[in-house]
Amino acid sequence: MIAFAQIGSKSFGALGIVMLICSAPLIGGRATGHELPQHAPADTCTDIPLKNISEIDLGTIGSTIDDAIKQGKNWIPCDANQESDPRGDTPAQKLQRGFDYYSWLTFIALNSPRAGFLGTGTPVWEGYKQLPDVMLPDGSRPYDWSDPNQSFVPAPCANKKGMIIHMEMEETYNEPFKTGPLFDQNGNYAFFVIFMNRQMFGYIRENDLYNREGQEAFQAKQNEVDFPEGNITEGTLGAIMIKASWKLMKEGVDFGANVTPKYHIIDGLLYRPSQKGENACRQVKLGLIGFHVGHKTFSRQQWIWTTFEHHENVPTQEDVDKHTTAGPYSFYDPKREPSDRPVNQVPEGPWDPDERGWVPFPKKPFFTSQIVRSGPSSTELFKDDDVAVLNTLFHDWSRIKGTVWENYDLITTQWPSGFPCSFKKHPGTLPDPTCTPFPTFLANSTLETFSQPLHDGGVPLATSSCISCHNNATTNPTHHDPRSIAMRSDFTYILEKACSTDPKENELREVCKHD
Amino acid sequence: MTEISRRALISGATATAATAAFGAALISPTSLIAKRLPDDSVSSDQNLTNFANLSAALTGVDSSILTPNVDPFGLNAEIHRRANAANADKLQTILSKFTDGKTIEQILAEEGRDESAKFLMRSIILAWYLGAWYEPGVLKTNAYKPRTYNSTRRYSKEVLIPPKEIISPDAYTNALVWRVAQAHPMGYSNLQFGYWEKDPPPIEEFIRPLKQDDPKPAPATTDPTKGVPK
Repeated sequence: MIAFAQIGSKSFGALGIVMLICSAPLIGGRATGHELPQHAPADTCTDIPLKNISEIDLGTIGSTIDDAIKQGKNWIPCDANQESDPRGDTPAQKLQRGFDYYSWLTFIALNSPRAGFLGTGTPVWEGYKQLPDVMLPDGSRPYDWSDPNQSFVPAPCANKKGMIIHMEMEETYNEPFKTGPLFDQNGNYAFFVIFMNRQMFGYIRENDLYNREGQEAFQAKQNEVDFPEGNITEGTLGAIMIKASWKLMKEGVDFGANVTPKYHIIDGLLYRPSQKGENACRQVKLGLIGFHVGHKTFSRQQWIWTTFEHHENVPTQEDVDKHTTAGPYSFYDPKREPSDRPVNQVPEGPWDPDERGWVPFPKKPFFTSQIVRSGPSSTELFKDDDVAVLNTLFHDWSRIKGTVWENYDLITTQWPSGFPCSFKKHPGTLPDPTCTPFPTFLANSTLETFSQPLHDGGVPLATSSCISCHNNATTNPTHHDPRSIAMRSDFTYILEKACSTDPKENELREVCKHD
Repeated sequence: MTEISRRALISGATATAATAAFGAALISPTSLIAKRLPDDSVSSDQNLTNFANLSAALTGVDSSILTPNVDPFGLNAEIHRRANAANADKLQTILSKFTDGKTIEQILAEEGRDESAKFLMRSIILAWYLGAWYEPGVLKTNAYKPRTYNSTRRYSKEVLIPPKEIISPDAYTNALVWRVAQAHPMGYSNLQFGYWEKDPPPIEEFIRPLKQDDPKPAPATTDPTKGVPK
């Protein structure tokens, strides 16, 4: 997962930002739009040990979670555990199980409400800070975590409820490395949003890393970016960032009377500053289709990278080859002939929805994607299909069975495998700061659609690998001091999105222009 | 153990074969990239461990670097398969002697005039260093070819030794030549942003196992959201 990456300084549409500045100033510096869910500032985490994946006791997991909820504790895992009684062939296989188990617990915890289990309230992560609420266009300090208001609410979205989908930002609809947009079978764009948890946000805010001047000053003091880490021994959660992908939900099909929803559905606000009236901030329903999590931990200084997908997203290439596709799929049409459209292609440009004149649910879609999951299957990667074992186990859990959450599959988890490499603080000084990611490549078909691994591998630094890509992430200092150069940003591209407090510095970055 | 310094390598003072072969690897077409070989029963765990230890002695790089605990690339097995395919009997002889405690020099001395051990070892060294497989026989032929060129022509296409194949893209990017040079292959680097303006990490960190940090590192700051001084 190249994930969180390439959001772009490079990537904000000029027209969009001009319109944003003209029509959507901050409301008196104190936006009152979408209220974030209130939640306790819990720094805690919960360790749920693993004997081995053949003997997972869901009852024990459930009671541990219930205890944590009663105590008001956060029950996101602090770090990945390894099997205490491992069964497996290779070291990689044994270790991988621990990470995939961690991923499932993390997915459940993040998608549960603060004081409840899946499906009983707003997921914890939806209360995290969204990227545009942290890296503000004028480089100003974002509101404190405890402030229920968002720092940045465009005027057309004020007094409306829902997650704001910032279509003026190219990274909302264009995938990492500007590889292209993804279209569902209704001809609608897939949308991508980035969030960070309190620990990550707090580090950015307290160290003034939310603007370019702050980053420069931070660097001048010989600091280096080092986000808080999850630690089982100390019971600390550490920094978590999330990238989620969404598709537009259709009334009568995906939600509404007599419809059993298959997706986690939320209210969304499709913000398009180029549009007029209600269309500038259109109320929509969004269904969750992809979910990346990056979590920095004590034992994995390169972070642990988890990815989940809705299982109606796409078939695998193997399904297609064997004619065993079982749609419907959001991003693949089984009836379409391969000669009609090769798989995993993007449309010709322009990709900007405004330039294309795109409207939600267009009568004549200008493109629908034909996507398959490529790359080796988890069976090929790990010999035993332990990922499928875990998916089945959790899907069949009585607490999940019959809910929308049984439709989400873990793809797998990427982690730094080098020991003691992955434990070493400040990995930038190592010969290989990535500490040998395993598996070498990992992609979510909705978030790194066009850089998925090939069946027999991939191309280093071109095929999607969360750790290898994020190893190249840096800060974004100003040009005030010609000696200032970007510095390593601890595996996150979020800091690159910072704007300057100096309008001149922002001239080349449309999204940063301000009055 | 072979000791190769960064300076020596960069200045081209390493083995002529390696230098020439390295050049060949760089100009090799994609068609040279090998398909993954099928498993072979000779590659038992013990055989592979012995081969890794032999490789460590031949290359001067710690066996834990060559065969990490979690090994996504499996280069040890890949190179072992090729060495075994090239000359199974000789490889077994070398491995037996090596596991009996003999040094590389002693093995070569015992093999005497039969140079197949020497060139098989050379192929193994080149495979680790360059990520390409050179047939021992080709190396031998080239070694005894009269040198009709002078040093200014040593990178000429005519004098490069062609590899049989590039083992894999992973073998190329993980080739030891980059490690001992404290550098990286063209177009692929995991070194941190801005590495070019600093000295590289020490050579020991490239070719020896990393040392573990103190078991309980002191908290860098009382406030986990604060910056951490270097």
